[in-house]
Amino acid sequence: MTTDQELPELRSIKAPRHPGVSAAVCQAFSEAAEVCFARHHEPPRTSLQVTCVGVELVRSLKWSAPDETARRSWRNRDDATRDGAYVVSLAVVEHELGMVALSRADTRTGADYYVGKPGCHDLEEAFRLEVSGVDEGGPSDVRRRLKSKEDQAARGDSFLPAYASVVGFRQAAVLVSLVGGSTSE
Amino acid sequence: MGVPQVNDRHTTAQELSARAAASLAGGRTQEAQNLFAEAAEHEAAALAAVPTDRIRTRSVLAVSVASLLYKGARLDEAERAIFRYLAPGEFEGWADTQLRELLHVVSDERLLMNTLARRYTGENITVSLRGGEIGAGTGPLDLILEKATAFRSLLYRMAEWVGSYPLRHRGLPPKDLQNLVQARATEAAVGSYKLEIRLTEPVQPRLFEPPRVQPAELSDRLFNFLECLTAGTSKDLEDLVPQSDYRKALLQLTRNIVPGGKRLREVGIYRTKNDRLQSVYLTDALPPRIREVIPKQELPSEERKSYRGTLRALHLDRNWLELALEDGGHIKCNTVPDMLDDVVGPMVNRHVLVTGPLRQKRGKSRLLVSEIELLDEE
Repeated sequence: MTTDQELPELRSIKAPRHPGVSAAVCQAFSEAAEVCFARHHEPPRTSLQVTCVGVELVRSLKWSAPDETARRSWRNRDDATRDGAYVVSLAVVEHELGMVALSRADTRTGADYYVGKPGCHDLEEAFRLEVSGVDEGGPSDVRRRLKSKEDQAARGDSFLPAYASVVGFRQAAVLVSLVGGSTSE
Repeated sequence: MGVPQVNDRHTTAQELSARAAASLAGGRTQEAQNLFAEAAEHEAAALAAVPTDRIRTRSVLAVSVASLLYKGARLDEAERAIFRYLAPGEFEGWADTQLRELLHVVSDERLLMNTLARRYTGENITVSLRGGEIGAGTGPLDLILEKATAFRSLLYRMAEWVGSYPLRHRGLPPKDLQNLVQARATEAAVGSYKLEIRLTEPVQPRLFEPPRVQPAELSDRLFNFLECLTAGTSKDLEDLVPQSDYRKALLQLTRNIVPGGKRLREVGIYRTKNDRLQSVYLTDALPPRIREVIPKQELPSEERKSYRGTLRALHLDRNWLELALEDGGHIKCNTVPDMLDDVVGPMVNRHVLVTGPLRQKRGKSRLLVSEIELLDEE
C-alpha cells in the first residue's frame, strides 16, 4: 500500500489544467467538500483511504475549515455531498490516473463529467465519470453505493467506458472503479 | 489538426448551465430556465463546430443541447432538435437511446403543460402490484383500478394533511390539489404490474401565495407514514400524525390498498431519493396492525359488535349504511359522522367487516359503525 502522498488541492481542480471545470464551479464544489469534511474531521489534513481500480492507497488531502457563509450556502446536505464528491473524485482521478476533467455536458437529469489525458482535444478517447457521495455511512454503505454506481454506469444507454467513484466523507474513503473498458485504452 | 471540442461556445454553455443549476437550487426557476435556454444556444453552436467524424464528441454534445432545451422549458425546440439529431442516425447507440427517452419526456410534459398548465416535478412514486392474479404487466382490470384509485385517495389525503387543510368528510379534494397527482402505467416487469405516480406543480407559480403542498414534502411524508406504520410503534405514529382524525383517515385509506386474499399478495411502494431506492411493502400482515393503532372513539364500557356482509347501500349525509349478511338477511346500521366517503365509497357491493358500539334508541339496539374494512375476497 502506498502512503502519505498528497492529493492536489481542491481549489486547483479547475481550468486550464481541468478544462471541464470553471473557476466558479471549482470554488463552489471545493466549499461543498470542505463543509462535508468539516462535519466529521478536523482541518488542515485528512488521510483518505483510496481504492483506485483495485489498488489500495492512503492519501493526504489538505483542506480549510469552511466559513459561516459557506456552511449556510451548503445547508442542503444532499447537494453538498454530491458536489463535494465531484471535486474530491477529480483530485483522486488526477493523482492516481493522470487524468483531468476534459468537459462537462448536460443530461436530462443532471450533467456528466468526462475525464481523459491532458491535452485531449475532444471526447473521442474520454471516460465518463459517474460520481456519488456518502455523508454518514460506513464502509459497507460506501461499497454498496459504488456497486450501485457501477450498475448505473453499465446500463445500456450510457457512454462507456466510465469510471464510477464514490466518496465517503465520514469514512474518509474514496473508491474508484472502471466500467466497460481498460486503463490502457 | 486539433478539434476544438472544448471550444469557447461549449465552455460558455457549461458555465451558463452551472449558473442555471445554482439558480434552480435557490428556487429561481424562471431565471434558471432562461440560463438553460441560453446555454442551449451556445451548446448547439459548439456542436456545429465539431467535425462529423468526431462521433463520440458530437453524441455527447447533441444530448447536451437537447437536455438544455428541455431544462430551459423550450419544449418545442427540444422536440425539433431531437428529431434533427436522430434523423441521420449518426450518433452512438447510447446517445440515440437517451435522445429517444428525452423525446418521450418532452412529448409527455408538453401534453401536461398544454392541457393542465402543470409540469412534472421529478418526484415519482412507483406502486407495484405482485402475486396472485397479477402477471407480467397484466392483471385484472378491476383490481388494478381499485388499487390505483385507493392509492390516489391516500395521496390526496396525505396532501391535505401536509397542507393543513381541515379534514374533508365529503366530496373531492381541494381544487388546487386535484392536479397534483398524475398516474402513468409503466412497462411490464416479470410478475408485477407497475403504476408510476408522478407529482406535478403549476407552470406559473403564484408569487404571493406559494402552494400549500410541495411535492417533495408530500412524498417524504408519505414514506415516513408508511415506514412508521410498518416498522414503528403506536407512539411513533401518534407523534408523526398527532391529529387523530387525519391519523384515522390515513390508516383507513392505507387499509384499502393493502392486499388480502388470493388475488394480490403484495403492494410495493418505491421511490428514488438521493440515489437510493426507498421501498415499503404492504402485505396481509398489515390489517391487524392497522386495527391495533387506529384511533377509537367509543367508551371502554360500551359493548362492541361486528358484522360481516356485503355493503349494499349507504347514505353518509344521513349517517347510515346497509349490509346484506351472509345468512341472507339485511341489517341497517348507523355510521359515525366522520365516516369518509373516499374510504367507504369503494366498498359498495364488496365484502366488508363493520365494527362499533351497540347503541340503544327507543328500546332497540343498533350498531353505530365506527370502523369499516374490506375483507379478503377469494
